[in-house]
Amino acid sequence: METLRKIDFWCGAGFLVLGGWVLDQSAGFDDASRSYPMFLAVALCLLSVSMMVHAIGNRSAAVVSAEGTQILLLGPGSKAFLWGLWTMMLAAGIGYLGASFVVVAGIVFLVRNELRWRDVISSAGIVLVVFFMFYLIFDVPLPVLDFVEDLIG
Amino acid sequence: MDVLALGFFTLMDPWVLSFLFLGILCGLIVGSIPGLNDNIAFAIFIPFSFSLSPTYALALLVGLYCATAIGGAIPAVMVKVPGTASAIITAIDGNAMARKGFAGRAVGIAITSSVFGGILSAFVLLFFAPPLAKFALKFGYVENFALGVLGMASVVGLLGGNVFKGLISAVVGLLIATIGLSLETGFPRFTFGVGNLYEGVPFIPLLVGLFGITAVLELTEELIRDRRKGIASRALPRIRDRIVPNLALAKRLMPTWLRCAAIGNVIGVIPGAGMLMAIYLGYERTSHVYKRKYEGKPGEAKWGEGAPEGIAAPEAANNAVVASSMVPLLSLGIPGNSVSALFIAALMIQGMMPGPLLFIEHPNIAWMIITAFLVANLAMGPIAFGLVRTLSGLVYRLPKEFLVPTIGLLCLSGAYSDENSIFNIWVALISGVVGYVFRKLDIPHAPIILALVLGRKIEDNLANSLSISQGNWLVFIDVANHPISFGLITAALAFILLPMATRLRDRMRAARETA
Repeated sequence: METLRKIDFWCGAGFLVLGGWVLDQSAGFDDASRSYPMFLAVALCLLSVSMMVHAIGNRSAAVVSAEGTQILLLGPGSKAFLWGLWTMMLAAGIGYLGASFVVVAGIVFLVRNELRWRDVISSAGIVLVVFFMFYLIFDVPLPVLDFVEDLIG
Repeated sequence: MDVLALGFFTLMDPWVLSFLFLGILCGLIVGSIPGLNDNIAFAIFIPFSFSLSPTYALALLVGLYCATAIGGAIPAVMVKVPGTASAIITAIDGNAMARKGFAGRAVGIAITSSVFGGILSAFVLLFFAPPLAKFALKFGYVENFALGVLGMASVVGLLGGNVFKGLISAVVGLLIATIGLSLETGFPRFTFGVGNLYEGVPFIPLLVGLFGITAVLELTEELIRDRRKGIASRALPRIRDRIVPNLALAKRLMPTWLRCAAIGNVIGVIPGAGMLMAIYLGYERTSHVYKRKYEGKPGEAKWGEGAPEGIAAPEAANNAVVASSMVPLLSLGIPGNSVSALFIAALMIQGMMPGPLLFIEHPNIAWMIITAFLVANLAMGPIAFGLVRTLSGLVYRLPKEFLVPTIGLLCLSGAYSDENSIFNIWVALISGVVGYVFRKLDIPHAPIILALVLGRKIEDNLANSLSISQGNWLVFIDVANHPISFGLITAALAFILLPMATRLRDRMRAARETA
């Protein structure tokens, strides 16, 4: 772990808010169920304040570069978004195969900055292999469209 | 002796043995791929274990756990990119030796050192876990609560650096563990009317997210960063020399193996201490010996520039942690490190709870796990030597662009397969993003994982302890009636306070020197 930095001040503030919210929520529980989460919430608040105090005393501010932010958005940010989209597509009944193909090809495109025919075929191959592994070998009823289910039997 | 034979015979079932070898094979492959590690391997394989019988599933995971650490050394030596975190130090001397034309020798030292450390730690597991489990059967609510506190404290205290962040991580984990119906009254806590949360946050998707999805997000960031930097491809070493070390080299490395395996075993049995601490300690101790004994002599490399001991030390230490980290898990129900925490998930999937009762309720499984560690470590050497040339080729050929979505798809499909629920995918995804943000903020993962594992038990034992003592909080340090609890709480305090005191002392000393 690194030493405390300026960003830790905001991190501590975030945890302080979380601790306060937990404390508020816990107050609404019955007597026997509230004491333990309340105790944890108070502990979280105290630790958050300690972290903030230390961060104020630490002058080594973290440098946030524009490139770093761009990488975060392009890489993990967009990828998390795509997987969220995949989950929503599954919930909406789009079907596992179609949703997975769109997301896998999308991620390959994002990482490569281009999408060749070979990539499209490889993406489809990955989805099919994972699908058959779960659906046929491990007997997991993945959410598929009716016609796919009929096709596989 | 009878129970040991029972475990051995359970393991000798041809299918169980096949799954053990399959685990070793997969572990070697996963470990050899830079960016993949034991955490990801477990995140992918644990959901698969649903469809397997307990013996098959656990044999597979034991093989996987043992082999990923060895596999990680291969890319560390060949391209100076550690396949797993445990091979970070191996990359220094290993790659330097490989670049001098002795790639085979470097890989050979890494494999033999790992096997040596692994076998020794399997014996530690064999001799220490059962008696410790027998002793733990005497524990009541008070002692079990104190044990949980000790587990949490050791993780936080041994992280080093910023204790506040470790404590925050632990508290957040304990809070997540409170989600669901209250153990005392059945009152729904933090569920917001979502039925899926009544039994708590689903454990398997949570772990899959924290391990697998977090790693996938980190891998994506790394890929994009590398692409932008346009990392130049340079000539990479190939294995052309002899791999298996000769007797003279083995004799020379023996003291290093013994020293580092001992360090790894001691650290492995401490809950939460983790592999990295063992590796750094082993490497640091060995550096003093090497500099005194070999450095400067004709034909000997400088430390850090291809010293055989520089490869042997971290590899013997990291594999010594593997089986010994299972000692607290099997005997007390407390994981020795974050990967062994995933074993808890694997056992829970099969309807078993790790801890002292495992040896009574499922002796065949408990002893099978122990013997599997021994057999896996014995078998790993020949398998690794046989496959090393093929595996080292993987480093050059695998397109990472496809690796990232494949792992993501495997992890999220695995999360879905636990109860076949879309809700579980959301849990895995959100915990993955939270895990990634925690990494960015330097908040350690180990305490949150241990807190998730122990949270409910700690609350339950606390409530019952207070109930039987009429609300007396001093019951935990009552030396007369609960001496074990007193000892455990004292040890917990020492784990938290000693690193703080050491840091304060160092700071005061530095201030005095500056003045």
